Amino acid sequence: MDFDLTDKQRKRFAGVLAEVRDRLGRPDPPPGTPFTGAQWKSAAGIGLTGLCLPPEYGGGGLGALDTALCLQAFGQGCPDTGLVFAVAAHLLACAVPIRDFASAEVRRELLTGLASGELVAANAMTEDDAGSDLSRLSMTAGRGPEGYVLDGDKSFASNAPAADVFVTYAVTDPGAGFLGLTAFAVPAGFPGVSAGEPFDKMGLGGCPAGRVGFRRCEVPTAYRLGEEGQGTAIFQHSMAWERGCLFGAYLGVMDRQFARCVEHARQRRQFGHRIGDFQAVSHRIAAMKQRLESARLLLYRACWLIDEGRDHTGAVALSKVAVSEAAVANSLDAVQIFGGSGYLTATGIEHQLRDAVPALIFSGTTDIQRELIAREAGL
Amino acid sequence: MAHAPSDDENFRRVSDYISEYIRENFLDGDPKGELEDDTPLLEWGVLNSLNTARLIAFIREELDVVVKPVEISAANFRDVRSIAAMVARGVRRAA
Ligand SMILES: Cc1cc2nc3c(=O)[nH]c(=O)nc-3n(C[C@H](O)[C@H](O)[C@H](O)COP(=O)(O)OP(=O)(O)OC[C@H]3O[C@@H](n4cnc5c(N)ncnc54)[C@H](O)[C@@H]3O)c2cc1C
Repeated sequence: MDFDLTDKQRKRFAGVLAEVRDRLGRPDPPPGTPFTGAQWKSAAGIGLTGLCLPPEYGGGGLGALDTALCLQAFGQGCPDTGLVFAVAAHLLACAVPIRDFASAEVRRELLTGLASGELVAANAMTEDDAGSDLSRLSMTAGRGPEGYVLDGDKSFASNAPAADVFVTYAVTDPGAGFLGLTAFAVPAGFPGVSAGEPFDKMGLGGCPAGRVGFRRCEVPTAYRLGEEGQGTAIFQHSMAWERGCLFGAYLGVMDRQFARCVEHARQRRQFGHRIGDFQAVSHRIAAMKQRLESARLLLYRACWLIDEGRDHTGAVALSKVAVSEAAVANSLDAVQIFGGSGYLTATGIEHQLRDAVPALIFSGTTDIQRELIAREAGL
Repeated sequence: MAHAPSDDENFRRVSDYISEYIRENFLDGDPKGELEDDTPLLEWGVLNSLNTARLIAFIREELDVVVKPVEISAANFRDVRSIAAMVARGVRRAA
């Protein structure tokens, strides 16, 4: 067993981190506002919009672990976690299923633009009555003259207000439960597609999210991903990549946060001592480190299993729970360590907590991940 | 030397095994004995994305048949009969 990154991985990580710090390291626009075209282009210029897409389409050709490492560097170097999330969701929940399941024609049409960042993608699965329980999906894809006609509403899609392409899922066989879903890639310009206004939300403000409606939207067969009825499998595949790799970004955020907490505990003095001399503070920092490092090991291993083509569902679920819970717990500790200043927006600590809470929910809630873990244990 | 089980025997054995697993694990033992070979498992929500993964693991571990991702379809999981037919095909493939 070897726990070291290779030289190549270390160099790539350092290269991405330096570029991110250089081009996206300043909070401009201030975190909390939807990403600008210039920010998206900068991320794309570093190669972040196409990390795991095939080189022949301009992507980086990376596997899951290397993708996660690059996103870790992105999360560490960029103070706007919403932007990092937006890019990662575009890549993992949208470009990955197009990479692996789209027709040759649609791959040619979309992958180059997705890799270069010219196209922004949004994943639209969740509906008002179908969140964790995807068997309740109600959007339908009936037969149409050129293939399918999509009808329905999606209630929560990250990147939707900015999207050029939607990856979405609809019922094609109502009697077949979760095996009756079919996946589609739908260009936002198709008649009948309409994205709603950006939501006001707790965190990840850099990533605009909204509803999407499909009204008698005609979608040619070439835009179907995989076969009819494979929608759930395709979604699970994209979620394995998202639950695995995207959370690498939170490792990077936690690394940056941890360094700031140590620095603060060393220089802030009260009662004639550095606050880090008080065990209440130093042990809080030790606990942060323990959560961060155990989450890191689980995430690297989960991504490695994906790359090895081995069973990874349980390992990915463990990693997702560990990283998201560590991110929330550490962010709360960071506010505490910074005291009153941690509570003030200008210090740049409190938003980490607001950006971490949604990680317990998106890509499948903590409860659903625990359900997967328990089932794998034979319960 | 015992004779190799016929396709029919294989099918019966596999379908009993699968029915038993579904009864015990997804139907609280099926006290009223409602599960039939043609009960629509997907339509009635007996099988969902969470427990179908368990069923596939059971088929792999106990029956030594690997269900390939392309085989996870409504046609193959509609009812006990179609699952057993898919597994019996897998057994023949391995033989
Ligand atoms: C920041 C953010 C970004 C998102 N981006 C997208 C996106 O890009 N595309 C998209 O399609 N969706 C997106 N979502 C939606 C997200 O996928 C759903 O919110 C999530 O799947 C949960 O569904 P729900 O909100 O309907 O909650 P529900 O499913 O109603 O769950 C409510 C509560 O009940 C619990 N619960 C439900 N079922 C069970 C069970 N069987 N066992 C135990 N507990 C259970 C849940 O864990 C949760 O605590 C995003 C959400 C957030 C917060």
